[in-house]
Amino acid sequence: MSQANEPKSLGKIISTLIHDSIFGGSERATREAPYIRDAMGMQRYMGSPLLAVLPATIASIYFWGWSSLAVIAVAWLVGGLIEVITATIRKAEVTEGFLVTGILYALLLPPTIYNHMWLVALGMAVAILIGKEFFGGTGKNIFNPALVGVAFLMIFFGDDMRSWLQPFWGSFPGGFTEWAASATQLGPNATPLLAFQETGETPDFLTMLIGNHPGNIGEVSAILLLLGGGFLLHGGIIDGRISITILATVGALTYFFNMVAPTVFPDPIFALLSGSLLLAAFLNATDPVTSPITKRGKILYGLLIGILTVMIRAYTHFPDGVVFAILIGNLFAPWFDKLGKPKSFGSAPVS
Amino acid sequence: MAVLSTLKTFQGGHYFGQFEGNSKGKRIQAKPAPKRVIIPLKQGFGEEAAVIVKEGDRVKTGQIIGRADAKISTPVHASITGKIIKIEKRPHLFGGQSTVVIIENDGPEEWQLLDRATINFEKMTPDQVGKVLYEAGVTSAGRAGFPTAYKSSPATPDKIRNLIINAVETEPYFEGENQLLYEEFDKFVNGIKILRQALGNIQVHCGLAYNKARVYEELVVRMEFYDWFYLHELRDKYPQGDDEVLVRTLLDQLVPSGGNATEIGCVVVDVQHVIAAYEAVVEGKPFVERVVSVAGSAMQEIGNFKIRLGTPIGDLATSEGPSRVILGSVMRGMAQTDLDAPVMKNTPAVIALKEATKEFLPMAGPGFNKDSFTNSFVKMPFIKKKATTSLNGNERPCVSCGYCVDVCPQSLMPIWIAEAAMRQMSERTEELDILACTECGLCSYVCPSKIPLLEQIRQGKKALK
Repeated sequence: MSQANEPKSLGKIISTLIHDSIFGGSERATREAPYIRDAMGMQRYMGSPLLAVLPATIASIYFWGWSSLAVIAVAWLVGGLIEVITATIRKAEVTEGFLVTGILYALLLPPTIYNHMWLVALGMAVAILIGKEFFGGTGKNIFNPALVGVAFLMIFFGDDMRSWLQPFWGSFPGGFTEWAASATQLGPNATPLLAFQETGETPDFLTMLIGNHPGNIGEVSAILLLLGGGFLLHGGIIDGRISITILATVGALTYFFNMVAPTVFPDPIFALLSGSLLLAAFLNATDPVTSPITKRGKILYGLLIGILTVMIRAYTHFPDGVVFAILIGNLFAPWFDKLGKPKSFGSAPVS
Repeated sequence: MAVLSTLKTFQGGHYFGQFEGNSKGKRIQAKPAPKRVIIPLKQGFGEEAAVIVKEGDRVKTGQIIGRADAKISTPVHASITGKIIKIEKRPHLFGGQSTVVIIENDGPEEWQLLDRATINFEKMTPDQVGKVLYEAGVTSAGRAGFPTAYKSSPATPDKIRNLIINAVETEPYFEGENQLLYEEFDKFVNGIKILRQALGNIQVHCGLAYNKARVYEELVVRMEFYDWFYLHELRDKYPQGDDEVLVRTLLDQLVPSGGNATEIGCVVVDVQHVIAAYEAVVEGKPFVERVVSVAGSAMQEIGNFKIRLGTPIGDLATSEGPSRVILGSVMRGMAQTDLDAPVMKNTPAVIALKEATKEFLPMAGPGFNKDSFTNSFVKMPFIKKKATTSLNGNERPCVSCGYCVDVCPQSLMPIWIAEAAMRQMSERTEELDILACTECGLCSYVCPSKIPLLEQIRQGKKALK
């Protein structure tokens, strides 16, 4: 902590950044008890989500061509630039958070967004600057920065955020030799959720699982997102209390509502695999900074997001409500922490 | 006896791996008496004893050199035979100043034994046993002393309903007392009876780590006919041995915040103290030596040794390369730069850790030899975990990952308490029950942002006093 408060020049910040990315702070020694520390550092903690979305990212190149990688690169570039500038102003170290924010933000954008790279840059600037730095930087923000960026674009650039494509599918190398999937791909270009709102039809289970349907860059392949989510859950990086509660709530609610109003609520399996629900439940909602820290608070938070997701999907003109559900959930997180504060095991003094 | 065979544990906590350079399974060896001992007159629980010898006096091993019968204290003994070369004030390990007596060894050892040694301790009255324990210096054991009629503890024997034996040692590198259980089992069993004798008609609960099958079976056989004895099997999760956690796990009773177990009628003692009680009553030997694990990744001569109290750690720590020598626990002890710091009654280990070195891309890779609260590193049961003073990361702002909340054995909110403590909000820290913290250090240990939570909470506690 003391190191973070020392005045630093731009050169010092960059050299520290390079040194720390190679040695990971391993030569820094403990000054007080406990003298040994857990091997988990912030670099690995922030690197794990990147590893978890790696399969989905590679799949996105296959589905949408290399332009999807370019979108991620632009997001990282803008995010990194803002991070270095704010670190210089704040005379602090550059933190790793923008990498996670950048990729999660890019994966929630539609594949045609590469036509407007300035939108990607603008959204990322909003995400990092307004979503995070204005609140005081890493650890102080109220809303998930990636979702702030996405929500900003969804509200102000709705049309650009709603132009989806049919993915490459059925052949190899697919998108690996293409810059972008073009409009010549056959079939309607509405995401399954949008198609359900308009026509009431849903694709079959296998299509939803593999992800060969229109959708945002990183959200389509349910199976790869489950793989990444499983990796994070097993590693203890994210808390199952949040992810599992969200998925269970969405599943249970749509199961019952589907019996009552099947035209408004799809069947639960489709609801779980569609849209950005899996990506958001495993990676966005579990953002440690903006989610509750107490165990009971996490469950309440998961419940709220699950309920809001189902309701926004059914009754608003946004086909996918997860982004807004989580942002509203973020707002409630401190209150859920207050409700969920555990009772300590110290008893009152014996008189 | 009642064997409570369900494996008990508590919420939170952490299973440490086997760290490199531990002394697990090493037979206890007796070290010869050192050339010089430094004996602080504040030992274990209790106030400082008044010195009753002069510089230049010759003392025998086991002779009382300090006592203050009017205060809550326990006599202090010379641990070697020799001449007192100096009596001076020195900074004490736990803060403040303490008078220390420095004795220089001068040749052949002469013991001054306690006069009332007897194998027939079962015929002694509680008062008689208590007197022997007091005179032998055993009563300063534990967090609040062992209650006798001789002001050895703020509690009195008639207030005590349960005696709790802590036979589950879960701190990294603390292996000496585990080894004592195997090697001095007979003394352990009789020691339990002696301690009960001193407290009158009470119940005895023994918390034993589940992986000690041999000790478990022998205890079942030996204690079969005593209906006051309860044997509990416990998981070896850190910090199971803490008084608060142990009392809660065994008896389902909560210890008052900031208080100690004697307030709810429980006395908690370690294996070493049970054995010291036996040696005092049956062999007449005062508490002048204890088993100490000399271990650590930088330690050259690793082992479990019987060491005279007051031995300077410079005599024990033979470390190689840059290292940090810690008296006691690596989780909550204090690193010593002064190699004259002495082994005391409550020092189970002397540990030397390697200093942190640069590692190439330490955050990547499977990390077979890395210990972590998360499951993010591949667990290999037969590979010893690396133990250096490395932070294993950079200091970062808190991201509220919640590991400290998950790991806290007392069900507290460590990061909230630490933040309030750093802002000097003492009302808020009290509201968050800062005094219930047992200072196990796990919150600092698991923090991926490497925030010194334990240190901050300790400062918050100091601000309350």
